[in-house]
Amino acid sequence: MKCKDIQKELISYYYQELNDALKAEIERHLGTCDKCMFSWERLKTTLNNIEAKEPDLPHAFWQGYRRKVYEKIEGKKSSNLSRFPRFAPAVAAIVIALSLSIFGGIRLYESKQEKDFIAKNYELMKNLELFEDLEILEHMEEIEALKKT
Amino acid sequence: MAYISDEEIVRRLKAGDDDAFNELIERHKKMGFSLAYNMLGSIEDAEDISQEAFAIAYTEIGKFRQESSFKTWLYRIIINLCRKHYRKNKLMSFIPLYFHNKEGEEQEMDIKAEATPEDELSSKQLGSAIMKAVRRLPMKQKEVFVMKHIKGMKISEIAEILGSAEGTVKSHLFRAVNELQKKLRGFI
Repeated sequence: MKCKDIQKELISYYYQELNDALKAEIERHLGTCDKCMFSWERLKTTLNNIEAKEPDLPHAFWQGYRRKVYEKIEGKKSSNLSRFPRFAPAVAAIVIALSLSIFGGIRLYESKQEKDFIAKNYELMKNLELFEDLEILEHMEEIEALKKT
Repeated sequence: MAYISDEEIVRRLKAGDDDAFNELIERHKKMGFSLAYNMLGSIEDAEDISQEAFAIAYTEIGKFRQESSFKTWLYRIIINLCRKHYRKNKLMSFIPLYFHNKEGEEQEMDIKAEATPEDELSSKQLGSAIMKAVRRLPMKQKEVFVMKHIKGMKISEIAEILGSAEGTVKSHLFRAVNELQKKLRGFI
């Protein structure tokens, strides 16, 4: 193994996570290579000086721990339940507003179309009304004739 | 009373036995808290995040397929919550902090300023300086370093928690140690 490969394995060597063959190879190499030996000594010194500093927590801290977990669970349950009702009024308002604007728009469009149609065909419609009146009169004459007979 | 494995306890919890969950809390609360504490460096945050992780484990237990151990799954949740917390705080660190000097003028406080070795040595808190250096590591390097060196986990176990290859874990660890050696030059 080259020095570069050995140095990569030094951490696993420190934590004793190497198989016997690799461990023996590293030890052989360290015995002959000053550069890798220096790296190893430096690594060992650094890691030996780093140790966990756990806070000294009172017994009461651990006693209340489980209760707080359950409080969080309850919080999650209620937030899941309240998620819909919380947004429901806003969603309903948006849906209503959208519906009103869509239907209102359609109605407005239809009414405008109707007005345009009437304006364009006013004369024609007027004549049509006249024809309808004449037709009614004709029918009236027929009815009167029937009455007489 | 015979020892019951985590696997069996999880099965009981899935079947609706809440006492099983209490047992899981008792078994893993200290390790879970410690992992979060060594990642974040604050008792309050570590308490909040480890408890949140248990709450998630409880509500999502149905999704836990037991392909890994409960401990691995819980640690994965804690690591994810720590990442989320870190991202949130990183975002907050872009917001400059202001304080008022004696004359009442507003001055910007440089929260990123790092203490010099001399400052640290004068405080005579070597242990604190080391843990500070660990907490200043990039997130991925910190995760593997804390799990390996502080929590004493196996590289294979860390790889499983992070969903990474063992080679990747080793590489992060290698870089973390190099970084620490640079940061702690003059201390140790």
